[in-house]
Amino acid sequence: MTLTRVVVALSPGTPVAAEILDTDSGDVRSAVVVSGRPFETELPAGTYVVRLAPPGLERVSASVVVPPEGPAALTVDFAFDDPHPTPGSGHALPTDRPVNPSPLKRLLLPGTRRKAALPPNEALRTARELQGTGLFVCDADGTLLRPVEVTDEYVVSRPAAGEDRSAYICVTQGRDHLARFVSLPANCVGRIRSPAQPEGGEGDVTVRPADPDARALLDYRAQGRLSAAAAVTDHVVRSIGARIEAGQGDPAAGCAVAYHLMDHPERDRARQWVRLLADAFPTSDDVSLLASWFLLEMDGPVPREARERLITAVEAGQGLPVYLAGLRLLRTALERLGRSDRASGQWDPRLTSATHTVNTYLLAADPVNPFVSYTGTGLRTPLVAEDAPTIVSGASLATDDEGSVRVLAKALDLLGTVTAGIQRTITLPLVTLTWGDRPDGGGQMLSVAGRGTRAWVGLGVVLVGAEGWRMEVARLSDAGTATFSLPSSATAKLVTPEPAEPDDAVVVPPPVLLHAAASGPEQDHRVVTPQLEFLLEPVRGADRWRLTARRRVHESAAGWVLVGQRSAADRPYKTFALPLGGEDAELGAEPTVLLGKASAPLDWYMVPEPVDELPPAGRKAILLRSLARAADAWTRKAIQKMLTALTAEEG
Amino acid sequence: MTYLLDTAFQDGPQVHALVIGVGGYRHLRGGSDPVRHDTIVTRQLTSPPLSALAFALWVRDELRHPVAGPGSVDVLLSPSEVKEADGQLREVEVPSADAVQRAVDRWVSRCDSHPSNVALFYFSGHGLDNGSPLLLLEDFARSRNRILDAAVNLEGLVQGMRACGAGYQYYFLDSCRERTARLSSLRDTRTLPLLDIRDGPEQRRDLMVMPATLSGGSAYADRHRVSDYTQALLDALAGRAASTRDGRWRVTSSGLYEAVYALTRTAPPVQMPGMNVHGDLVLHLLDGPPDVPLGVRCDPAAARLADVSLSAFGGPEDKRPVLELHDTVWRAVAPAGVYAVGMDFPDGHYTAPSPAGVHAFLPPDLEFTVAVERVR
Repeated sequence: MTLTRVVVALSPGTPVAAEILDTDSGDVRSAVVVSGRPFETELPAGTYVVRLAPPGLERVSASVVVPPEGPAALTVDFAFDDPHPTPGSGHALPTDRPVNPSPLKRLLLPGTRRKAALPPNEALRTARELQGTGLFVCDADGTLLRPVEVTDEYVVSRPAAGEDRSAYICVTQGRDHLARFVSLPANCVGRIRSPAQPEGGEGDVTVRPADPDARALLDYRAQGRLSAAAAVTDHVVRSIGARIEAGQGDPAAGCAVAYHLMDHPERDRARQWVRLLADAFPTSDDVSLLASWFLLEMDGPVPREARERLITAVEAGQGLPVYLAGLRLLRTALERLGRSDRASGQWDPRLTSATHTVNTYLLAADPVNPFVSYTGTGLRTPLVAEDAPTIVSGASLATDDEGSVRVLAKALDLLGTVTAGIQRTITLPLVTLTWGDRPDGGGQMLSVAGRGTRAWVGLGVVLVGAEGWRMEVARLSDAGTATFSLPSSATAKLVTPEPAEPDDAVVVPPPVLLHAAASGPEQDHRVVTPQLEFLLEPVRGADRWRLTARRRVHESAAGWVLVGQRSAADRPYKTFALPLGGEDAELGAEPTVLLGKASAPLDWYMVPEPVDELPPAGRKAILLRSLARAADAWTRKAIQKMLTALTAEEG
Repeated sequence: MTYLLDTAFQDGPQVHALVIGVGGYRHLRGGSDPVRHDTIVTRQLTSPPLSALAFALWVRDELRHPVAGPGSVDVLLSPSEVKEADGQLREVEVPSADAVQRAVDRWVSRCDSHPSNVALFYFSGHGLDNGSPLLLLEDFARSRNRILDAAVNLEGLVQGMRACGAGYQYYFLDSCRERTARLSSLRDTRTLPLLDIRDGPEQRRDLMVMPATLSGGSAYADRHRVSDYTQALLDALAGRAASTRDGRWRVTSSGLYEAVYALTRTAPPVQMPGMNVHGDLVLHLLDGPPDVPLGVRCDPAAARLADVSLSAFGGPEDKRPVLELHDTVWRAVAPAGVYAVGMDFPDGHYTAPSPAGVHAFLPPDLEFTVAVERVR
């Protein structure tokens, strides 16, 4: 027997999964070799291959021959160049001093030396005004901690001690792009490389734990080396556990192990580990989530406290986990609560809203990063990059009314489902929307805050109830607000017009209620708005839908109803005008037009309010089109009368 | 229903596979009943039925689970014609939403019959992601008002299968996971209901969910070919994921993931398989060391000037794979194992140690680089 030492030179304390293969018998022994500590084993005479899988690096192997009359000891040395050495202290360290200070440095860095830190939103706005890449670090409630200049590469680290909650690295790329926020927990190291070219994208941001055991575990998982991760698990649990028990651990390392153990079938091990974490780090959001999850997994009703903790974590926006696995677990936990509620016939709008919020983060999250990393318009307003409204570079809302309306329509879409009694805010590059109850209790209010445009003043915003046909139209005031009266806990969507097609050069409300006759021609469709009623029915003997409109309230003045249809999803809507009779109309006169083909689903919309006059631009085209499709004599006559009047005007 | 394999019910544990490949989509452009509304995805595909069939045939013909014997392989394909080994065309069931609901019921019922049963689920076709992978079935987009009602929510299926007794469950998903703005606005929409989800502790001894790509990513395939992911999966199962313990060659779930991860990243466009592994048990046993592609390089690159040989270490002398030079790498397909590497430079411009090294050519580490020196 010969004592064989395997020595690994890597960052101190890094565990490395190793295998010792006996080439004679084919037996394989697994081992964990820790950098800086020789691994020793007794080997009988023979030839062996030692294989190492260093975390984050390629595998290496070396052969070892132990002769029958061999020496008392053999040493196998492995040396690696660690591409990411860990800095010794928690500070922002530029790896190279820039020759020319960046605009961000000129603007922000002096401020941190002489003035109080910028509030987070102000810092973000300022950073986004810059051309090129900006970078700063903010804590969970957004306070700017340390702006650093843009350079080729930066290392930002946080010390292990102190606040458990996460700080975020924020990288901006000017006002036309979303910012990226990357969670930076305590005792972790962030590395930011700016793009090689000024317009080369956001660059690369990675965050890794400073704890060598946690780092190895995450590196293995990121490389897909699950067997190596499994091989070092016992060692990592022992090492990090000992540090935690000695009061020297940190929640980021502890939770890396916890989420890893959650993938293991022996759930008791994960449960025990989380118990250890809960005692050591009671204020950590990830630990709180994990502890709540195990309460959910127990039989019996969900403890009120666990439920409250999960929902509040999302509502406050300050209790979100720092690990992506945690964010996924949070969603699963909220969905489980939702199922439990439904089973008992309950509905909690706070839970619905929290689930929606977590989903928003998950959709914007980078799936490759083990830490939560997402694009957004602010720390608490994640947004998927492809969902951001496209603004032509250099254009502003003030000079582009059509663009303004499009941005508002998109923003309302992103605001999503709104609920009476629950505030929602969405901040986009050029506009912030806030939905909430009016302070005086008189319904709900939508506030639209945008820079330098009045294009939205007077614009109609339509509230469409999630259930039934409830609809409300309100116009944006000079102050950018619109008031609605949604019943308590009811949900709805908000929509607003997008620009019409050129030949219909009028501002018409959007397809506020798309209605497809998908159930086939045997069924009639009736749509009721507060002022109008629409009936859609197949015409016997003709392959057409007949649309009839009528008033629901008595009104003496004549007017028009606007409806639209399109032939395919990628085609524009064509607008039709249906006359509404005034006092002198024939009894029972109701306008009817023929639309689409009864054999196919009809894609149509209606404007829920009658209009007094057709807008001048495009009205002739609309009337001619309507005349061609008018299905009764009264409608044809009314349209023809209007056309004649138009011709007289022109003459 | 179409079973490629359907053994008689046995008392012992069995492997039950449900394999779905959707290339033809009835309601998309080019389908038999195209619709005019926005369908989010538009193209017909050619690879999925080939990929699904290749996987199904592998399960039928090759899979050897250490605990469970052969059970059933239920296949649903679109287009529905399968060419048998004898060249005959055979009709199989089309994976419409209704057919998949029935197939899942059959599959769950079979899987539930023994606690050591193995449940295999494979899907190839269009996919989306709304936080969970969504698998689009043959009659996807049949309803304009319920756009996802012919789509399977994979997370729901996996959670629903928690109540099924099969102790070993493996899910392979060969599809894109695109996130679109349209989809983001449909978060409250309902997917095809397959299984009730019952809460409770996790009982499965081995659970692996392996999507071809991460959320938001794409999965790739050449037209009329088995896809990159499925080919990687088949290569991995055939040996590229194999490891040896106690003299037995086997593929474990974590080894399988690592191999597929490595194999799908060898050539652009790169895709990164997703991972959700819960346990690490043996999925497949091999008869012996698998034949794998071995490679020997020189550093600096001087392979063209070298004579390279391999000889099985500690084995019979006749185990000497014949290497061929491909670009800058000497390659051979040979049984995995430990080899002594010989390298000689007849023209004397370089020197290498003798022997150049003893290397364990064991998956996934199948290449060896010899440090050579230039002779001055």
